[in-house]
Amino acid sequence: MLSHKISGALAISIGLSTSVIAQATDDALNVGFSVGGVKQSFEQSETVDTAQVASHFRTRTSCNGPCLAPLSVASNVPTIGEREVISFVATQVAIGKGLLIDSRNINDRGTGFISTSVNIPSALLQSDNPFLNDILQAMGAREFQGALNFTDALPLVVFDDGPSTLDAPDLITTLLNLGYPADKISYYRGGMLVWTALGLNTQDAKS
Amino acid sequence: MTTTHTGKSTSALPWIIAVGAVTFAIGAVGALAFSQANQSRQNNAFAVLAAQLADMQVTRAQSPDLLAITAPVVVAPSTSIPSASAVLAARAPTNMPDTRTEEDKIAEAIAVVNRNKMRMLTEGVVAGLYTVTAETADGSGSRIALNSLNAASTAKELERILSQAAANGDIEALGSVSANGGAIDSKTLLFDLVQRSLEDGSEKEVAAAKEMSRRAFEASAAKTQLVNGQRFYTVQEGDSLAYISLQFYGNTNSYQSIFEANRTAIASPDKIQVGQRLFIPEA
Repeated sequence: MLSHKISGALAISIGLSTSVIAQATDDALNVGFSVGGVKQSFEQSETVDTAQVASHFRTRTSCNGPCLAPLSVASNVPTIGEREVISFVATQVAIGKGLLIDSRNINDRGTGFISTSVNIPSALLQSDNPFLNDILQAMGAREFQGALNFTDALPLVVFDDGPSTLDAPDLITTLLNLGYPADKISYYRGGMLVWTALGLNTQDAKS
Repeated sequence: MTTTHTGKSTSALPWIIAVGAVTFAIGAVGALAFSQANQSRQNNAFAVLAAQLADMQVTRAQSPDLLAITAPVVVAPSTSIPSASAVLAARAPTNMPDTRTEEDKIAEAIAVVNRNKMRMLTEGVVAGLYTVTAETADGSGSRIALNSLNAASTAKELERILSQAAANGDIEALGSVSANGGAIDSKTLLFDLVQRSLEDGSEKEVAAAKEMSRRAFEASAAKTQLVNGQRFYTVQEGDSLAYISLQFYGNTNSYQSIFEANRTAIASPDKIQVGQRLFIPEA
């Protein structure tokens, strides 16, 4: 059921043609774009909601080991910052040529997420999930008699709650093990923690 | 002085003509003899080829032969791998229409290549001793091809034999494996022959044929465009319809479905053009 929802969300993200209204520049960070006919934008507030920032911090006890994400997850998987994320959304996600992936579980995503992202926790990509190939096909892979080809797979930017969590590194590792090409994946290490600390707007799960 | 000189020239002319005529005659006889010798050599070579192929046919009938298993793959139930004489007869000029099917032509191709060499390849594939990508000749990338690990030089030799046989007319170039430049796509043809050889064999061989498909599909570097949910592929330099089928279905057999899905754009399987956009139907 959850997989169907994920696939549906991906289909919407991929299938609906969109247009970019403006792109990030050095002078103006505000970026507007349209997804499925709905106008959206990235904006930077002059104030920071510290409580929201704190909600994305994970304590030591929540990790199997140090709550410190690596700077680099794998070779050929670049680690990127906020400007690259915004540019990726405006130029690729907005026209269905890329996916911004929130790798957190659904409860963590409930605290707010980056607009246009789709939720794919690494638990969804386990081999015992009967919808695994469906999800990968929604990400652009081709399937034939159980075999997968990733030539047409979409470029991805993967994020999680931030440097104190390992959801994104785990998802990226899972994707690489499934054969997803490393050069189609980028890691936004700052995640929700840094995104909100910088005053960038998020989307509420209820909105 | 002048008169004497003229007289000498006049008297020498018949000799010059005579010597020239004799030289011409000797040259003509020599050329004819050379031509006959050359023709004789060709005939001898042809006879040797016929004998070799005939031997293969006899051997196939008398002992288990991996490629003999491929005979039932030929669609027409009554048709087995053609005898050497049948292969050679097919080359003879005739006014009769060519009614051979693609499968007949594939059987001819199998008959032309050396069976022992083919067996080395198929056994290597069953053992998993191969990869399915090979660098392009110009080093610009890689293409799907049977890259044998146990018999690399044999594979190259068979590709050469197939190309040569197609160039000589010993086998009919299959439309589906004709690259868009017109030349036979010998790498794809060899992949196809090995895979077909395995498809009707033992359980292990059938599994090996499927594994070839899986590896080829996963290795495909063919990029497509989705338009209203339909997948399109743009023909690249060196593509044949069989190669395109190999990229999207892991075998060449499905070229027909691509051809049928694009009948309005393709007159015949060997008439695809670089830059042409083809609809790739779902398997």
